[in-house]
Amino acid sequence: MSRGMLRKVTAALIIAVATAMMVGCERPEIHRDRFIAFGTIVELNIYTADRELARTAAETVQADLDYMHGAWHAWEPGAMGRTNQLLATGMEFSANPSVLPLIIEAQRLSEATEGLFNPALGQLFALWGFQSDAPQGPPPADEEIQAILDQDPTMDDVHIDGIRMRSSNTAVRLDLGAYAKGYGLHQAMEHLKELGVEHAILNAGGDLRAIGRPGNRPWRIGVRSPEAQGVIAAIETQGDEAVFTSGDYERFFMHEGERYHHILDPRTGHPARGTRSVTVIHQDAAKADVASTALFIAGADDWPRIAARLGIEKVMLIDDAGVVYMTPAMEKRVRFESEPKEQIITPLPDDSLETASVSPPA
Amino acid sequence: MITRADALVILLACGLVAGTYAWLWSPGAPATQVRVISGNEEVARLPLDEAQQLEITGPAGITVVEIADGAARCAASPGTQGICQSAGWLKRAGDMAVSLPNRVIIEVLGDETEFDSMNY
Amino acid sequence: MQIATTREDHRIAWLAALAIAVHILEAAFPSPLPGVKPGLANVITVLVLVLYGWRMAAWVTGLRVLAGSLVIGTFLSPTFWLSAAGALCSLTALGLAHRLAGRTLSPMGLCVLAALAHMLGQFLLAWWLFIPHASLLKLLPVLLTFSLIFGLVSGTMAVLMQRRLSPPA
Repeated sequence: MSRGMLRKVTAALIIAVATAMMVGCERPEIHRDRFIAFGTIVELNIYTADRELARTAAETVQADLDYMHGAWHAWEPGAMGRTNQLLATGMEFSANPSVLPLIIEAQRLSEATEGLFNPALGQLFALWGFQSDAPQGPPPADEEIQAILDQDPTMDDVHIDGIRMRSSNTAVRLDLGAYAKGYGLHQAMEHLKELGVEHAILNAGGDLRAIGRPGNRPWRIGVRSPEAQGVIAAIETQGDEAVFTSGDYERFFMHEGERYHHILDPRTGHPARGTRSVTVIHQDAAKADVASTALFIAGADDWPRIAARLGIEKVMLIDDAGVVYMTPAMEKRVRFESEPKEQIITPLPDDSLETASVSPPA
Repeated sequence: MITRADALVILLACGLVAGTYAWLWSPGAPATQVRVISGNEEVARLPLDEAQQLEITGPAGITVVEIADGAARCAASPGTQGICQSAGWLKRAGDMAVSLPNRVIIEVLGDETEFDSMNY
Repeated sequence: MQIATTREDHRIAWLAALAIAVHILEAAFPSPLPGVKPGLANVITVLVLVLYGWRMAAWVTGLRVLAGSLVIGTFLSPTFWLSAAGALCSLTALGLAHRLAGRTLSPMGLCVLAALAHMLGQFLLAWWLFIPHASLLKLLPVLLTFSLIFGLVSGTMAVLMQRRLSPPA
């Protein structure tokens, strides 16, 4: 046999194997990226056969979130920081277009939560030190807290007329922490859709928005237990949905054996007590973000009323005794990994759900 | 009779079979790696079955990654609350420890995760 | 009505019938491992290739896969698609090898090549279409080992049969 033949046989084998491998590579798969953005860990799962799209998408999300974080951070020299300086003067000014829609929407949601979501209390969050990556305590003195509460800054104090804005209360400082992440995830995912991404989960610090499905199964989400490391329940997403949880274990400091977490009750100025976590499933990520915080503060007694006002149908609240409260719609969607001690299914009050869904006259 | 080309084909076939054994049967290769990301760049991808220590320098200081007994952990990190360390030993695919101040992510790689994403 | 048939058509029909018989016989025997079969029908494909060329081999194999599945009752089932993918892959490899190496490859080399290509084709389809699971990959080396052994066995048979069939040059 000639040397040329040898080469040809080898070439044939290589071609056959290479063809077989290329066929294998075109199968869509889940591309996972993790990076730090928005002051937290961000995870992007994209199901696609297009490697290049997955890479571009990850870069786009990172750039988007970094931009939004800078623009919306209450205490950094971005658009929101500047807005806060101007609000403190009590004079009228032209609002920055990058924050105006957020503020208008936050105002509406603050009202729907009966003020439990009160982003005007930026000074209170700063006093506790929860705006930093590593809050340290100790808790501030009661007099300092009371001094801020006495000034009673609320979203009603912010007056908006077109693009002109003014605060009638100089104590107003906007901190959209409980809302900006949801809004940001919403925007970033819209951008991904424009790029052609159809199946993805964008997760920022445990809160996520999912679209599509990876092949012929749904996306599977594990809900972490507030008690310990581990998963309490599994949720399979349907279409375009956001899953948001607010928990007392997310950001906190310990002081003299007591845990001080970051979800502050605007009525007391202290961390809200009685609840361990609230999980919400909703189409609108921004609203889900606000709802999980507000329902946490509302607690086991009041959450159904607030949820109905917000038009949120899928809620799960775990109180500090480990009792799980759920709406009937939520019960259909969660599968418990370990059976909770006690489950209470609470339907939402109907009438208020209706009033919430009626849009106000223009 | 068997020709030299036959012999070559058989030899290559044996090579292919042996290759697949080496590739797919090497002890637990794909599921037992840990990836270290610093400042959004992958800086290391290490097997979990080789004990070693790795020091990652980030904006806040040095994060020490320790690998031993098929698991990895954040042994030291500049964060004041020890959140990175409190994640403990990471061994299952998807386990993760994060130092936000030092912008370091330590995660165990693998395909066999039960959930696509975690909500907390 | 009668369709005009050529000598070649008859030959295809006879050889295909033989291949189908082998195919069905093989299917009747229990298999020790799912996906592992001696693949004796490959002997016929390779012999046809050597004696009558690739076009003929493709016809015989195509008819074998189609008719065989109809008789066993697996037509359009996963088994059928796997079989078709294997046959397609093995025919492609045989075609390339035959074209490039010509007479320097005996039925032995061709059978080994066909057997491995067949298994690889089947496996990739199974992986891609049905169960893209990491543990399936662990099976691949084992499956390839079996197909190498069976390739050598069927190659020996093909060499012996070729000697009987072709008059000494």
